[in-house]
Amino acid sequence: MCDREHLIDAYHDGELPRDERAAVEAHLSGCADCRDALEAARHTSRLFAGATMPQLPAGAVGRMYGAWAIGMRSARDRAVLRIASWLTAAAAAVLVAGLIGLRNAPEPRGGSLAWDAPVATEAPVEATTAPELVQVAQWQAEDLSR
Amino acid sequence: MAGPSNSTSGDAASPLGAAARIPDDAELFRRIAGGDQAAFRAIIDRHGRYLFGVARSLSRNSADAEDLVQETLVGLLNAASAGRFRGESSVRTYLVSILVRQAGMLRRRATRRQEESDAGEPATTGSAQAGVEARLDLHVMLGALSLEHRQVMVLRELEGLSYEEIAQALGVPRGTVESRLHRARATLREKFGGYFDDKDAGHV
Repeated sequence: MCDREHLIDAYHDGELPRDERAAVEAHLSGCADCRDALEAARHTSRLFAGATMPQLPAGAVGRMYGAWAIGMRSARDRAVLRIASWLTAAAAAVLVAGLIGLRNAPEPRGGSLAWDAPVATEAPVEATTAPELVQVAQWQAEDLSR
Repeated sequence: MAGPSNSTSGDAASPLGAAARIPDDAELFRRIAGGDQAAFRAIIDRHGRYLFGVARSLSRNSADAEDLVQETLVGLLNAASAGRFRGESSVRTYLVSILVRQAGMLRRRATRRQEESDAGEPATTGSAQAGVEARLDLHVMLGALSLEHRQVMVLRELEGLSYEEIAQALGVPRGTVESRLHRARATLREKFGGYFDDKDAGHV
């Protein structure tokens, strides 16, 4: 077997640059192995060009048409998923904003509700908590909208 | 659902509404992207049998081949809706590229349950087995090869892609394409050498 035989396929497929092509052509006249390989490659191509294709099984076209419904369903699922993640991110942002707003709200006069009394009386705590909550909300929103 | 370019409104008989002019594949593809189901069916009418033939040559049996075509068509719809096809190749070549890639993925997923072969199915539809006429069934020829070799042969011999395009379609280096083609042809030469000698000797 000739050590240039591997070039024969590329030659046959028109994939060699001009100079290499010329070199292979010069080589071919003196190398029977490479001529055989080229002949085989040409025969293979002819066999493929003349190959027969099977008939479609009964009902196959109808089943192919059915791919439309599958494709539409998967497109819809992707859209729903995208919208759901936006909505979740938005809901998280609203929730956090509400919490911050609640903590920053002025203390109601007289008869304050039991559940917001401790927060409203501790002003220094809310000053440090609010930026953290905003950060968490941002991370959450970024994560969910991905 | 109908495409936006249905100009002949009076022509209800034609699903594409363009009896006078037959839309080319690229136009059908654009219509599919716009949600036109009739255009999708027209693509199937045009290329379905060919796609099945190629799929059959990459699969163990007809049922697997149909699955492969189905996945390819869903892939086409995804590509259309995402605007991924930019017309750099023909729609048919694009479809075959999807199909060939899907064949690789499908095999990885289903190696376990592909034990049952289709020995009961007729291997050919023509007279290839008779040996009189040197026309081989595509899947008989490709059946002699590994899936990797079938993939490159389909893209090269049927679709005429360049080595670079095949490398891109399969996500492998160009050198791999070259060596696979070389080995695939050597195998075919070994298995079907008789066809070479009988029929085609002489005309080069």
